[in-house]
Amino acid sequence: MTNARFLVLVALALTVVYAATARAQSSGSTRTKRAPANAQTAARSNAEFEQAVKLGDQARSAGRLDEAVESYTKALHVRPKWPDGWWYLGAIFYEKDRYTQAREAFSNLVALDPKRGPAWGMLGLCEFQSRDYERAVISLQRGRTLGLAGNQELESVVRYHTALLYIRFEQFEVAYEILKEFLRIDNESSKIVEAFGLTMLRMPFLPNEIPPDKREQVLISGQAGLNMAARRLDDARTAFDTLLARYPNAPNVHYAFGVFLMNQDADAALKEFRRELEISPSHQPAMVQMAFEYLKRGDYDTALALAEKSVELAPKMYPARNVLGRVLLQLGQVDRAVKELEEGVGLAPTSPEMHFALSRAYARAGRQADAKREQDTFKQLQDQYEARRSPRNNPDDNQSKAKP
Amino acid sequence: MAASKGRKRNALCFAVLIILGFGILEAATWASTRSVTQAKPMTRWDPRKAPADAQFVGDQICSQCHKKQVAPYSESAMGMAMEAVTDSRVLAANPDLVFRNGPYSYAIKRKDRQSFYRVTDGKETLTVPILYAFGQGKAGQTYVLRYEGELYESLVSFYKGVGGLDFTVGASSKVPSSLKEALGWPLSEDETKNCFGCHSTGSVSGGRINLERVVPGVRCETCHGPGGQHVAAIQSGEPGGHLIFNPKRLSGDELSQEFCSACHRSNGDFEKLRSLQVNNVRFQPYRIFYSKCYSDDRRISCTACHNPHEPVKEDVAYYDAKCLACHTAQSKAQDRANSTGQGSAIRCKVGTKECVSCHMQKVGPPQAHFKFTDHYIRIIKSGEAYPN
Repeated sequence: MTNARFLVLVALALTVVYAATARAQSSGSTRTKRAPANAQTAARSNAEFEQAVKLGDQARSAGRLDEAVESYTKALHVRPKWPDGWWYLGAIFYEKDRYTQAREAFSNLVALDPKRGPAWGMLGLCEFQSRDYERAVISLQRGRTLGLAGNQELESVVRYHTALLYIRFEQFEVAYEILKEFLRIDNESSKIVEAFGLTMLRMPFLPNEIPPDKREQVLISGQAGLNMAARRLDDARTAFDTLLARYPNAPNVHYAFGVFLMNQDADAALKEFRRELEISPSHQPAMVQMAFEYLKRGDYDTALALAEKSVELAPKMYPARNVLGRVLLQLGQVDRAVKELEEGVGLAPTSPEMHFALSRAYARAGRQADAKREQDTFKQLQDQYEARRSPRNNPDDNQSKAKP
Repeated sequence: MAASKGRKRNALCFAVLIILGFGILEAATWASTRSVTQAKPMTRWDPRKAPADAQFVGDQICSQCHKKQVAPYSESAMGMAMEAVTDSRVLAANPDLVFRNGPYSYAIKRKDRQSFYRVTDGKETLTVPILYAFGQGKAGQTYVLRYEGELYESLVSFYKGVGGLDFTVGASSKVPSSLKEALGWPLSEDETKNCFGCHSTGSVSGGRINLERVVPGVRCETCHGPGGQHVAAIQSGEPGGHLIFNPKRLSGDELSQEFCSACHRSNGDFEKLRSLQVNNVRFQPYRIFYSKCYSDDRRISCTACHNPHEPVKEDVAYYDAKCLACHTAQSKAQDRANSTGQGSAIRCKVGTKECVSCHMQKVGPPQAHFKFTDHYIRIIKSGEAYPN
């Protein structure tokens, strides 16, 4: 999946799609801008450009990549706003593991055409390889949002790296949701299992950073997580049983099992979260889960104590703000609820549920205009969310269980 | 003498007892009044979150004062959201239902006001009594069974549209791999709470399910909250209006998106509901939220069109007045000129009768054998796909 050659093939294939249009646009714009006085100079430049492109294309097709780089660089010298030139250069540099140069090329490309999703995707991959993870996650996510020209392979690579980065940034729930997308294309490879495992155990590592003594634990957790995501509950349960038998005191194991149990047996889930808190007394996600469950049960005082504690422990985690805001709303502390939910929206501006929760709080506070604005944002974000899901919607979704 | 002393002592003891008795009675009355007067007003109520100590009194007590509301309510869809099997009209009217799925044969048979759900593969047979019948039968009815200590949702349900059994909505139509699987879907604790929490009264409190307390259907106290303190106050001559919840106090948006949606579902569940695609047509608050005309205005809230105490009106013309409560202006200019703080909207250029027949399409999800009214109010384009 991360094979560089494969990626370059993908990149080059995408280029073909863009090339004709862009070149035509490029020639057209040259024609319109041509001034009579500079006609000869322009014609010379044009010929020089066409020649460089031709040589570049020939060299690339023949696999003479250094020559191709030289020719494309010449062409870009003549016409620096030629998007496909930057795409070719970026793809070749990526192929040759020259990530800094590849990154520069893709950066130039997205500056010229900020709506080109595949370019953002490739830029993100370069940034990932350059270990600039913070920029990488932004670029990859932008690529996903803009769309990757329907190229399933590039989508998979971008999706995988995006999930890895969310794991690294401890956004495990987001990573889990992204990894679930692989189930829609029946990708259950060992890499995906491994990534699920890191998510379940809340280990902020990249795969090559997993300590050898943790690898087995990660893989068993991954099986549990993948089967849980695929709703193969018996298989998930078997994996959890193995995990609990082998690692009964390891951090996050009881938490993960509790999450699994949540929809089936909430009392048993709460027991697992309590056990997790015995092992890791500051386990904020366990507190958040418990707070949500008590909120659901209408036990607002218990929920409040847990939610407040979790915000205190991790003020930058939006689920804690979400649950605290919602509990406060139930308790009639509307102003405080608004404040917490506003914090949550600030922390997770692309989270539809945060905007929805905030809209409810504004409505309760009588701030109808603000409520309407948040509702509108919620609808927009929902559409984006749907767009990410829709290319291969799981037909079985129609069969999901839900009753009024 | 001694006897006289004894009598005096007895009389004294009797008097003391009387005084003490009155004292205790008075104290109890005072305490009870005090507890009522000190009770917190019920300003908010979530139909799905009854506290563990909820004191439900039952419809009969409510009807002593609110007969006008309670009487028609018994015939409403919500009132009949669940039927006791002994009283089930659907099961009584259909005493012998059958269905076949691959090697499995199903039968629901009625005997002595009890109905039995039977599934067989020709070699082995499972027969279990139906415990609860979910749904009033307007669209259909699904059954809850108990097998080996677990509750199951029946794999097959009754559908009025076909006058018989078919797969329950959401159930896989694949041939089950075992007789147990053929029986139905084992309900998790969460699913059990969801089902009973919305189709019955008093069965879920403090987040726990207690099937001993099941009162079939959505009764008065599901929406108005437990009436214990309200009734105690009224009986002791105290004002009790503040001790019962009246959803009228909510804004239009709160009513639709928080209160009714506790069961009818809203965007708090958007991810799950979207994934259901056309099956989400059954969730009215979720759908209406996307309508251009949806707002906090009470004229577009659930109760603007539906009186929850009565059966749903089937006559489409009935709803015209509801649409015309807003859609009165002939033009945008007039709309602006008319602005009285109540807000208005442009009148439909096509017509002013039977509005819902054009703007709220009927949608029949696969398996449902019933067309639901899509509450996403809009100008429906010819041939458009279901907007999810």
